[in-house]
Amino acid sequence: MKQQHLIVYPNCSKGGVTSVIRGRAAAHPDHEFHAIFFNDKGGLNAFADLENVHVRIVRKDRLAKYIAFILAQREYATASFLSCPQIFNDVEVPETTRTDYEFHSSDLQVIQNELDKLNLDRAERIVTPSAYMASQLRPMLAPHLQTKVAVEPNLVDTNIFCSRESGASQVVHADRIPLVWVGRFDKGKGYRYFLRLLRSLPEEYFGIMVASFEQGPERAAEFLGEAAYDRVDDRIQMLLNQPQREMAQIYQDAAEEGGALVSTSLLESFGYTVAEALECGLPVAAFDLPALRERNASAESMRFADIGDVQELRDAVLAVTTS
Amino acid sequence: MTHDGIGPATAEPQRMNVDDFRREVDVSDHRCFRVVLDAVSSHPIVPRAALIQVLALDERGLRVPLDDWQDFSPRVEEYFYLADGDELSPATTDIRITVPKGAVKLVLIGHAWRSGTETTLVGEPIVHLIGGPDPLPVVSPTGATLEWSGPDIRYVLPVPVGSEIVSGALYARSTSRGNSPMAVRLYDEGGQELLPPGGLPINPNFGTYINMAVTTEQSRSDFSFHVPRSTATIVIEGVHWPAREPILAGAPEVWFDQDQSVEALKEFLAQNAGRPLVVIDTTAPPLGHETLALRPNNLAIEYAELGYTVLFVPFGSTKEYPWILSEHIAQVPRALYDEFLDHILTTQAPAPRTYICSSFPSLENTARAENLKRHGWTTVYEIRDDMEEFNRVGYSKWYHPLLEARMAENVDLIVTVSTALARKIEAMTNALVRAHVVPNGVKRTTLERSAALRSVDAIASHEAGGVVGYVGHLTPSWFDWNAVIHAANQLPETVFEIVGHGKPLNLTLPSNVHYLGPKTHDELLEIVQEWKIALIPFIDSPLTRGVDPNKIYEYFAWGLRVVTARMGAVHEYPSTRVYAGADDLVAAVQEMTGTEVSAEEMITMAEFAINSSWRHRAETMAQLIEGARA
Repeated sequence: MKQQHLIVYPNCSKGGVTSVIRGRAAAHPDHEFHAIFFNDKGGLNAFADLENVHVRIVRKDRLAKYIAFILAQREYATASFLSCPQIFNDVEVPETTRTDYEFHSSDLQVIQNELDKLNLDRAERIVTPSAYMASQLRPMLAPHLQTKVAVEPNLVDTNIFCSRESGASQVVHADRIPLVWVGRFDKGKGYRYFLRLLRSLPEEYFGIMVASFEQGPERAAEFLGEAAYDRVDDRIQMLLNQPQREMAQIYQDAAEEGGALVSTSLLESFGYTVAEALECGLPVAAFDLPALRERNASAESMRFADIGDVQELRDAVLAVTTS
Repeated sequence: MTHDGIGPATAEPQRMNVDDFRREVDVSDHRCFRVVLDAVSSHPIVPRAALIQVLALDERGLRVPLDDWQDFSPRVEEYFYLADGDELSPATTDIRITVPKGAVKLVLIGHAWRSGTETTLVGEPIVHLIGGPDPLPVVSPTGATLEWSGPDIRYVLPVPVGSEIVSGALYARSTSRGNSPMAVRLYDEGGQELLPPGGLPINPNFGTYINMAVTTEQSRSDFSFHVPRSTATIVIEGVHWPAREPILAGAPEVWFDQDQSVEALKEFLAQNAGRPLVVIDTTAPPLGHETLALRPNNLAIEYAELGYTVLFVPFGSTKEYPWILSEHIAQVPRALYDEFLDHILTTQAPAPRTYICSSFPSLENTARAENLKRHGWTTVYEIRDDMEEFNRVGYSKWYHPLLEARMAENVDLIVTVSTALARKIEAMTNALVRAHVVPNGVKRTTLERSAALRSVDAIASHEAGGVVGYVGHLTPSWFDWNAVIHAANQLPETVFEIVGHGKPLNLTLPSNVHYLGPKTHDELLEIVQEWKIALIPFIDSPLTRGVDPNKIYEYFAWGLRVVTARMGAVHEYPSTRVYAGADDLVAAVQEMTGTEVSAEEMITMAEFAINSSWRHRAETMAQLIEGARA
């Protein structure tokens, strides 16, 4: 019998937690992962190529009973709960199953809101993906819970995110240098800094901006308006919700064309985007965040810039794209 | 679609003397069998004419006594009598046997028990392991209904490869009442139980379930759920439910929607590999609706005939419609759309590919067009309506003018249905954008079936009738009821006939306005013979100004002059009088009814209609697309 792991998270999407699950499943092909979600956000197909991941989307009002039933029916090695405090509180996990509550958000207010609802006495471990986030989380916990905090770095699915031999690029941008940006059109991801950066760079630089989790037109329209104001609207490609295989290809193509990933994020708990780009051989210029430095300080093709300093970020981009 | 159900026996049932009956089955401890035999007696009046001896044997072939068995005789030991039926109504004996501990074999042997009386078993006797893998028998050997309830029910459904949705119905005895859950379990090919399906209610004790409910009104319980990947078998099981239990009567009906599956669509794409592909992403309804067919629906059919493979992505749900519509046309639900685009990008051999965004410049589609363009697709923005106006009046919440402008500036080709919309998009964009006008059209079938109506011979019928007509939606947000009623009041001798949905309730119409309700195409062909002119009385707004009305081509196909509010390029069309305001509508109707249609005018209208076929429009679109690709 394969070792089985239960993961409960609200959104079945192509976002960060999908990367978390994929990374674990790819690293442990002899284990079985049961991912239970309660919101269908278009990510079901993100696991289609992984035989050892079984996904179910269960209506939220049925979820506690569903989890209770499968916990009683099977012997899970671990049960991990992410961003679902109420379900975590409601479900009885057998003693033979290690119970983890995981925090993957970098937003301390989001974490505090979860903590306000959580009964973490029930957790065997309180997991964060970086030592930095653990250091942020511990002071927010009661003393008896602080010892439960464990750092479990996320795993990059290196079956997908890996370097590629040159010459395989499917998308060619002749004599232009692509800068890839990934995130949401919100303040935390700092897209404005990217637009200003692009304006400050020579014309041959252009942006491939991959947004996710955008719903409704307002934020995208604001982004487009700002891009027009910065006079770079004709120097960006705006993509949305790309699958992991396509993201890897974007990174690989950009690496082949002498480009870079630019991270303007102002807060990260782990920095999946940076980790995945580096695995694909794409250099990175990023604002200097503790979680990024923790993992990538020694990466040769990585340059840091002070948070918010566009000139320094420009120098970092020029350094990694012309070296 | 595959269908799994067990109907009543129709062939002549086999017959067997009871003395010839012997059945041996391998068994294990405490399993329970349901044994059902139908019998007729040569002398039904003689009771207990035959019996079935029941032998439970251990590994050495020695008898193991049955637990709590009532009927025992020194000669045959455990037994049960057969009910005595006659030729017209065989009697059913329905009994349960629980295997005693240590038994490995169960043997049933028939015996005639009264001399001079012959007992015959009719049909194949049933020896069914309750909860076993065999299909649940739902009729007796002669076809009488066998009823099941509670944990005895176990219905095993092999899942055809590629199935994604299973639907079905459970039938309960109508005299039973109440609710009882039927647990649903999934197994993979190796027989390992999978996670329960996600789309069903769940009980913490027995898992996901279908609710079988019986009321005074209904004894059928429908169900449908998504079949997860890796599912090879679905098992539907009754559970012990101490409340009132409905009794299952008859076979459950089950069907798998293989046509509506990801695999079927992938197979469709594989079969069409190498042909140029057109993806139409639209606000239009699904293909396959009998009456709702907008420009993208009509052009999809024509593109396929011109040599393209068409993947259609409608706005609404495709649940009620087939996904594979013909050899070269399929439609995909929006929820699976990205998955298919990704599939095409990763697996399909290079071929000319075109993305047509038809009046749907949402954030998702604007980004999608950019992504597909970077993959070498030819991208087209087709503008059928003024979506900014729709948004202004509360529809199309996904719309933003910056997204539309972004779409227009990035695609390879812009096509609009009217000059008004072309001028608008050109004004919205910063780049030197040029929009091509390709108006709407008319179906070939409409042209074919209405040929007589636009012949010179038909003029007499149109003139004699003299009716002013309208076909279409009647919502007051579009249809100018005030103007039409005003015209009818001013022209009491003129008959107005109105056909369509959406007439406001409590609307009082003049006596010369006849509301005919919705009509089929065949019915319309009869009705419009007596029409002389047709109306397009839309309320004047930016929304209607941009429209190129589909109905005007249908009107010409029917040989009718047109009186219309100002919109699109209708002022350039033949036999068309554009009015401005209610009083001018009166004048326009008077003008157009007051003069006879000449043979020359009818021929001009007919030629205009024929040249406006969707085939012609598709050919023009194809030329523009191939030009943009080059």
